[in-house]
Amino acid sequence: MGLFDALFGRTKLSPGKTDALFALSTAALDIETRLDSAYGGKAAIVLRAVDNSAYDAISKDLHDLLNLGGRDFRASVSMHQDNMGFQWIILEGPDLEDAINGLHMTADLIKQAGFADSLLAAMFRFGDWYLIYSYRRATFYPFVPTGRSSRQESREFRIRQTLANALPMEKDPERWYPLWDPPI
Amino acid sequence: MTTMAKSTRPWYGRDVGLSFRMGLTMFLLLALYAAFVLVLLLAQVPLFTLITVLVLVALSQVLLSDQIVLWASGARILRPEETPELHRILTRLAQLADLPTPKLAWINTRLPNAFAIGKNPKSAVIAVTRGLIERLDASEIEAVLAHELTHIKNRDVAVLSLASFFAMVAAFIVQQFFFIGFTMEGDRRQGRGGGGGGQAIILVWLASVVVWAISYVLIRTLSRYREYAADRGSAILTGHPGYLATALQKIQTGVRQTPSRDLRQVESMSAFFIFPAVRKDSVMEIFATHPSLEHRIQRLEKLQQQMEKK
Repeated sequence: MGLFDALFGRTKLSPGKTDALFALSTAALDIETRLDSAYGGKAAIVLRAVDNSAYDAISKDLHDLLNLGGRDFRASVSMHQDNMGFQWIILEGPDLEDAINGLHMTADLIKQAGFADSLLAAMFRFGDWYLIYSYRRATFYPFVPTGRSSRQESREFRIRQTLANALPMEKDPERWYPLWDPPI
Repeated sequence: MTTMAKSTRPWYGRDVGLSFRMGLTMFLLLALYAAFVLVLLLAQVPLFTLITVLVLVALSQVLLSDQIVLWASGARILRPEETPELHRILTRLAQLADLPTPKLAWINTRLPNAFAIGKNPKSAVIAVTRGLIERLDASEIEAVLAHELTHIKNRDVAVLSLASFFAMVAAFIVQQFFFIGFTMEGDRRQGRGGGGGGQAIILVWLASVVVWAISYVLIRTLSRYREYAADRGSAILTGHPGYLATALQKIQTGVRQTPSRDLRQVESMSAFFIFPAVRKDSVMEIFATHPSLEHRIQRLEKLQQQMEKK
């Protein structure tokens, strides 16, 4: 949203930027070797549930898409609605590559249905920490929760440093929005 | 996948009418101010006086800073541990709106209300009252926070301070008429500028009164349009126009039920906001900086229908 939009009070949410997610494929090796963290088998898309019947149709389509793709796609899909009105589409499977592809297909479907701006984040579990992809900013950031509302910032900074060359990491720590109590 | 609408347009579309009216109001303000400056120059107001007035007004706008407003309202900054749920939902909304998460402040009054301050998103603070948290349920609080976040995103504090700058200059000239007249008179006596005189002084005074009056109406109008825009933003961010509609209704009921003692407490704070340089989400119609509840709810219902059509 530019200055012009602000001046005219035109609320526009920047459309979800989905493509930078693929950078994670190439960074996977760095995460494994340099951070000694293996993919934890769980990933999710977090999106704002919209009060709309067309939106309900998407979740049906999603199930079809992800289950049809099942032959060469080793991940199971589940939905979770959190208490803040956000929908979690969770992919469980051993392979990070499958998770990236699955989440990208999911995001594409949501985008095509006109709900690109309800895409909040994609989240990947690595051992005891998470890598979060922000659809608004097309950047990644680490999230190391140590409790229900505390995080280990020093380790997050180390992870950011380590991955800075491999991934588009979010530079502004104010934009490292925590996603507490993730269901993954 | 046949049920899927093959469109990438967002469901909320655009409110061209609102943008147009907002643009028109800002254009009229600009034209009014340009004419005002022209009159001041034609009346040969000494440059030194003019610059002094501009600097004084600018200083007063800067000094009326966010910190002072917060302090005057008796707000206290909340740490995330104190109200984890509130901070969580605010963080989600901020991420969705692509804004840094604003600080949250708490005002201990039964009056349900909220406001956002901060000239830029980095320094923004959203203040909520105890009454708001007690009366509204989680989704309604979320809608109010989203409304305030939209004010921050639209930079309403900056826009309205800018819009009211020359109005404040005009007000200053009207109030400090003797001082201005004195400098113009002094200038004339010394033969500098060579013109002006009594007629010019009266012209400047009249022009200031006219600008003050017209700009007052225009600024209030702009303020109401920006409230509509923030309501719209809330509906877009939460995805549920209905949340804000019920929140606004509850706030209105709450304001009516608030004991006058508590109202007085906030009144003194409102008196502090001489110009609507501070965005205040209030349904108190007496300020007329906000559209009526009926109109706001009508718009939200329209948005709900628009959503269903998609």
